[in-house]
Amino acid sequence: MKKISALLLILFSGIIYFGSNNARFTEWFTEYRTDHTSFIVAHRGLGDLYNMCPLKEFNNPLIYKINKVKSDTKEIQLYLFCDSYLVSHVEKEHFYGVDSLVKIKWWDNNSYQKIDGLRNDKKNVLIIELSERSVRDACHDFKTMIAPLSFDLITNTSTQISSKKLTEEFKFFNENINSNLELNIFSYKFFNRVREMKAGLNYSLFNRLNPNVYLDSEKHFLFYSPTLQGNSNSNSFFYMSKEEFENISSVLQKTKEHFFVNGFDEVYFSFIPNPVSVVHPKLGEYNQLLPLLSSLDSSIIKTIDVYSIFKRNPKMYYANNDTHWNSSGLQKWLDETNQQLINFLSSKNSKSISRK
Amino acid sequence: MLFNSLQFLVFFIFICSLYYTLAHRFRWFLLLAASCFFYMSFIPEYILILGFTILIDYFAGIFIENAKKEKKKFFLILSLVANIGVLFIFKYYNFFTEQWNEFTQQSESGLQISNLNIILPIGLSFHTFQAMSYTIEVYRGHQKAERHIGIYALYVMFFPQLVAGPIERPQNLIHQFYEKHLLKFDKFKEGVTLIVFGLFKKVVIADRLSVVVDHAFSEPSAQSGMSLLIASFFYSFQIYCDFSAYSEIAIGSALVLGFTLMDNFRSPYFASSLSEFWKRWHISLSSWFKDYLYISLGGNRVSKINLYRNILIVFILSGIWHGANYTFLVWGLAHGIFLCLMLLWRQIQPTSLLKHDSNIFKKTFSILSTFTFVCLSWVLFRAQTIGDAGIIYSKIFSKDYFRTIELGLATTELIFCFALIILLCFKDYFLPKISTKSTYVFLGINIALLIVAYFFGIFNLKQFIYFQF
Repeated sequence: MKKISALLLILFSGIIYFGSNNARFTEWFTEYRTDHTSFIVAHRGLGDLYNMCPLKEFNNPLIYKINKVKSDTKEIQLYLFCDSYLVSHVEKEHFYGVDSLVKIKWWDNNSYQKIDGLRNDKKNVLIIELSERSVRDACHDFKTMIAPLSFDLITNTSTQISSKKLTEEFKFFNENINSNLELNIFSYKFFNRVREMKAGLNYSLFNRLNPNVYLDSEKHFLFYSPTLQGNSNSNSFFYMSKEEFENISSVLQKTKEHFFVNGFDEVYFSFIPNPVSVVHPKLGEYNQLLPLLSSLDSSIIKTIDVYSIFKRNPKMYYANNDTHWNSSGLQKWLDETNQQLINFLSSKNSKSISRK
Repeated sequence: MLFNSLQFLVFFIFICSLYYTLAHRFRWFLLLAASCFFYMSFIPEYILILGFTILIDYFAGIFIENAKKEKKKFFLILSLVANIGVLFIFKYYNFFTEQWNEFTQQSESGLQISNLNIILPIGLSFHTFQAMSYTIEVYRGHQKAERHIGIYALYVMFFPQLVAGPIERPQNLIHQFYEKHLLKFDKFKEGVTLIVFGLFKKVVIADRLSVVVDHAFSEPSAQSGMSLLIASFFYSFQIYCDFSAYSEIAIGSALVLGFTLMDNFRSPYFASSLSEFWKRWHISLSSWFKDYLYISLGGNRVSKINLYRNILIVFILSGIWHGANYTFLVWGLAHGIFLCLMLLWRQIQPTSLLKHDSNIFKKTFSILSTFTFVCLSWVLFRAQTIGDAGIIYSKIFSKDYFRTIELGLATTELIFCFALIILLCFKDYFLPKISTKSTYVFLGINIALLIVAYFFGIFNLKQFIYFQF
């Protein structure tokens, strides 16, 4: 009996340890549970504030429902530099006139690409999407801005990228093992109730929340703390000098010119506001980063601007438990983007858009 | 791999189950492999440094044992130089180059030396001292040189105590690797209880107090005297809970595997004198310095002047052992001077006064005054620089005492912190060892502690303070 128990323990702990050490296993196991149970396994990106601070009243899993667009043309080869959120939520069918979509994730070297040239038979469009909390760090440096896509004449890039990915996934000492273990062992409906009890108890007794999370005084919104506190560039209320903004706009212009020189037909920038900049801009003295970027002349950069639209109805477009948009916000961004793509194509031909 | 992480929990369950399933002859290998994996989970490359010192000391031990008298000393010195050399390069080299460069910059002459771009391997001071105790004991003839390189490596690397002690002696540990340990429920219960108590102290008390401490010590000039006094008081308990928690988890984990490690703490804040404090605090290190340095310098059997000299040397080195910073040096020096003054005081006191140690008021006063000194000296230990420590002391004893009290915690949580400290004192004073003979008591205590630890614990994977040493 003792031996059997020991063997079961070895088997269980071995599978769970080495499984959690492996990114692919954890991903598979997460997807399996999401598909086979009613419980939505938390995604662990920075966006999921409920997962950081599981207060019961914020347990509203985000379910996205966005529209695909019907295009009567497939003229665009679209490159999209974006964060993990857009990587997982948008496909080429969501964009007007797009034949193929290449999504490149910011800050992820495995996602960064080297290509030997753009397609000649299509119009090459680049959208550089950045969340407001990343703008000041990314845009102060030209090299950072152009890093996701480089134009070396290396032909076997796909082989290089895939072999690199494999080594990343089979790391012997995975730095994410603790969060993977937590996800694999405790991310179930029952444990979620216990986590909610813990969060509620600590909040009511000690006013203690996860330090990464800020709860507004009306208790309607959770915000990601670095977007409104501390001396970091993510903070909407962290002072920005005139010189810094001038440097940002010059880097953006240089970035646009770099990609034009390398064959792109159009380059758009889209800066996604921190929720606090739209919902609660009076929690501090807003540094006006997004209004200033929106005001840049189109000869400097072309922007897909959602800040001014979101400001008209501040509480409509953001999830209250996530740093990201809700469905309406994402749909609004897609609508604006598609309008820009239509405008771009109609500068040559008039096209119409109709939704499925 | 931190003791307060899920990674360690699953790893430990896996290793324990495998350990008791394997035949005895394979167990040393499993423990060695597990220890390597444990160490490499921090920074894999640094296993090579550990391997280097293990090889040096392994052969040094054999050579010392086989050599004649004069050569014995040569091999011992060789081994000590290698160990201290590694420690110096990784822990002190950059500190000395910085001091040198500052000095030459001020005098506007001389050679500038560049720093080494290295990180301090985790627990280096601990395993180096453990390795040195082996060669010294072989030299003194108290321990036979270990011929089995795997067992010797395991002596240095045994994962429960590899990165923050207790610093073991070869006589206590090596023979245990040859013994066949059966899973005994009593030992298992005792071990698990220690682990759970340790975890509770770390995540509920130490990491909670650290919020106040980090807040106050990060910018002492912005704090009031009262805030800094409370933070210093909390730091006394933070460091105690943090380090004793590590030791308890280490001792408990070893006990579950059947090994007995030495105690590292015995209610140190109930010491009624500074010398008693050092018999209760980080026992494995203070006894190391006593056995291998203080006694080698002549111990008590020297003239009074030399006795004070010996005490100061031991305490200065003990301070520097903690890190390459003037704060540690001054901290050690302060303890050394205070101890010398106490000795001097005892010598000039009439003997009739010294006989009243059993008087409860005098004892309470002694305990409180010892604690006050220790608590205030921790300021030196925790401050980033001597300048910061100066600011903290001047603020603690200044007039703007109650200016503003900003501690980074809600009032209810502060009250909770004080309650935890009082509970801890009760536990230390009245229940040095909770009896876990009854399985129901064992289960009741541990489940209750785990539940409270879960609900009130702060699981931010904050490293143990002593890892940096």
